[in-house]
Amino acid sequence: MNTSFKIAAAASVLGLWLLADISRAAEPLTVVTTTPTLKSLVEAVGGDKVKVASIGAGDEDPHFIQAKPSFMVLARKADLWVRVGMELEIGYEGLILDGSRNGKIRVGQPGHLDVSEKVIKLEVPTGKVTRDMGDVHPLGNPHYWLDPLNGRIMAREIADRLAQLDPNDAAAFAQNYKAFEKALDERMFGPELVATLGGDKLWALQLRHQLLPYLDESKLRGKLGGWQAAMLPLAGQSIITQHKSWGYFTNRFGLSVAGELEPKPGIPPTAAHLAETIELIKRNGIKVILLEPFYERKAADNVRQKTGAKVVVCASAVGGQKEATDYLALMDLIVNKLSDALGAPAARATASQATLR
Amino acid sequence: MRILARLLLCLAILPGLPALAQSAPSQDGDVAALRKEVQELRQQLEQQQREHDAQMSELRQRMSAQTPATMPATSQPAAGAAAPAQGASQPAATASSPADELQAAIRQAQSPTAPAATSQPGAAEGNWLSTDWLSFSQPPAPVQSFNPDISLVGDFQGRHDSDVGGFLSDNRIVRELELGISGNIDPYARVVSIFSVHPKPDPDSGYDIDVEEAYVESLSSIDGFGGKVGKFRLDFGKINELHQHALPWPEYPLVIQSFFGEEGVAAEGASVSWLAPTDQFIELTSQSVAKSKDSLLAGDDSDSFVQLLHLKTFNDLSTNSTLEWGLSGAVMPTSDTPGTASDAVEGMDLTYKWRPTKEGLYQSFKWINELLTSQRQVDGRHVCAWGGYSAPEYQFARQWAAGLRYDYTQDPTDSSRNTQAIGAYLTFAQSEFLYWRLGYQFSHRNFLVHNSEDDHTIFLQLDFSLGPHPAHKY
Repeated sequence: MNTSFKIAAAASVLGLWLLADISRAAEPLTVVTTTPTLKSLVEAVGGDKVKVASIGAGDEDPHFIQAKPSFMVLARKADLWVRVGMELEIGYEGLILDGSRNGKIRVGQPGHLDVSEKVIKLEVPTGKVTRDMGDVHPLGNPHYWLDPLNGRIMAREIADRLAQLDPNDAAAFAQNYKAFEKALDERMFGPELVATLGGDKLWALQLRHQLLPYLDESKLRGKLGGWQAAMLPLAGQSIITQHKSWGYFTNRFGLSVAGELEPKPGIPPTAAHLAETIELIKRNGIKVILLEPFYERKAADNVRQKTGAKVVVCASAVGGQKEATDYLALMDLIVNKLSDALGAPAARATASQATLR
Repeated sequence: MRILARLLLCLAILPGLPALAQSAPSQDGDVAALRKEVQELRQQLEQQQREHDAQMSELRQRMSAQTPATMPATSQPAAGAAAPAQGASQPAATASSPADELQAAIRQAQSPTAPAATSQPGAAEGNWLSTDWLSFSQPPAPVQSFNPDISLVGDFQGRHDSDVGGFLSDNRIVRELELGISGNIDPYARVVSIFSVHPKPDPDSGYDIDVEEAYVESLSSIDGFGGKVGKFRLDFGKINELHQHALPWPEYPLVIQSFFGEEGVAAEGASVSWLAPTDQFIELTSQSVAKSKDSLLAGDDSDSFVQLLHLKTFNDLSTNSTLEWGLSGAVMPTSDTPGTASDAVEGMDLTYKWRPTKEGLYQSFKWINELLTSQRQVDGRHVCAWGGYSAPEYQFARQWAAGLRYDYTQDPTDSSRNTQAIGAYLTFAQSEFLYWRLGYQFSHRNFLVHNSEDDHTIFLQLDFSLGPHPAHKY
């Protein structure tokens, strides 16, 4: 009796241990991202196979996230750390990674993903970078997630890395990525056109500035929808922004940024520079001043009063405003706000249709 | 490249040779010599062409072997993996699939200086003069990659003390220059070294150079443990760990100055810290250091080490506000005989911070408090002393912050002597890398210095940092 009791006890302990091991294997990957936009992309491709937290908030300036010790506790348990890179996180990342004492997520480890590696970069300085240029990032402008094509590339990078860390769920990540890619392509070009030509072809044509000639030639222009259709009437227009953070978005849709309220990146607006900007706006008939919710409106309002240009406060990150619930909704928000302000209501309706598809 | 140059040279010379030969038909000897030369050149050319072909095919093999690694294929079919090598050099119209075409367009957008795929209809796969494959690999890392991070911090100060007179302290503006050199040694360890250049006490005798910190720190960690060895600032309380230029005031609080020395305390030894595996931040640090001159840790003649223990905890009260508190203790044997009397110092610190995520660029508040007690053997007497400070600071605009600090401290060698002070400070951050600070401090002692119990001090401080963007400790 005693012996069989012992065997039963040993068996149940072993069973529990095995069960514990199995349940651990089925546990979702723990991912910590530096910004909520990255978090949204990880959620989109990770689905229920990941548990994601972001240390930065959507309405926070991503340059000035603080190295709170509680973030070290968060990072300690992470299987994967995802960053924007290009030195956006230079003011705090090192302290959090060191403080977490988590060897898995150190730079260079599979658990550390710098999403900037394969994206299309802008404003990469070619000469020597010095501080008299303001807060210029030596690796290029790090606000690249505002180009929806980069969003697509980032999601792919994340899906690949998740699959590498959790090969058992690789098929799920690939499937989630495909679904996200399709949703993004449809929001960009409209579902009809994506169904006809496929997202890859449309993006390739867009990148080579051959999209419209091709659509005209194929008599498909009428099927163009989504963000691309909404922004089309605005192409060629110029706007003013507070910080050099919107270039990726304007570049993708053929708009241009004529200048910033900041005299140099990261340097607060000065009276002399604002006077120059007012002149610039008047000279070129610029209609919109675009800034993120975490900037004071004071300088923008000052310029508005003297020029009549509209001030548009728009989130540049997921969670930055209540409408920006995920990556695609963030892009919807930017497209809608800009088309409202720059005056293309008809186009906006097309965008909404694509959204409500 | 050398092969390419030779080949071009040969190609350039060859067509001219027959003409040269025809222009002098009568000189048979010369013609024979020329024929021979042409023959040799032809052989050389063929030889080089063979070598080149072999090298190219090897290169292609290597590239196709590397391609799957750079394009992990979760959803890409295996055939697509070889696309980058071909896609870039093929005209868009003949690319094998839309996915390949997109990859080629993306690569082209990534390196706008590379020849455009669509504008090079002749750049087919076999055209080895195409340099498209060069843009396939990442650009070479800059040579500076292996250089350590070098930074220079300057701390300039002018001050006027009512009991000493004069505006500049000893006619010196440069209070300290800190040269920092740091970097990862290997995958497991990092070195941090900070050299301090500061004026010698004698106003006419130039500057001293000192090692302020120099330690090797572990990069990897087992079960939440980390460690460092060398000379470092002691992890006692909240403020001692910070360098002078990182303080929110022009000088250390009076209790730190009188207990640890004018610039706090750094010492040589070893440090181990442990992050508890809990959801709340709890960190325990144990340090064992040699005694340091000019501080409470000096003690009498003893070779034994100072033992220090620090517990730090941190709570998020809300998204915008945090509370950090800590307990510290250090024991210093005053004699070589074990079990005999020791000096000791204990500390408590409490810091509250508020910074809204949205308006955080323009508004924030922090309130730092510390209390220290000490027990010392002084000339056979047992002296107990205490001191502390409370310092709120409010950032009221993007570049401006105003702060107050109240100080009280007893002399750790004679607790009947005490000093209290109240100071007000205004800081203007010209940028992230330079700030100006104006300060005023009134202090009152219960003993006379320069025939006065009271002292008024005005500070004007300019601090800057040069070099890589520093990470800001919370």
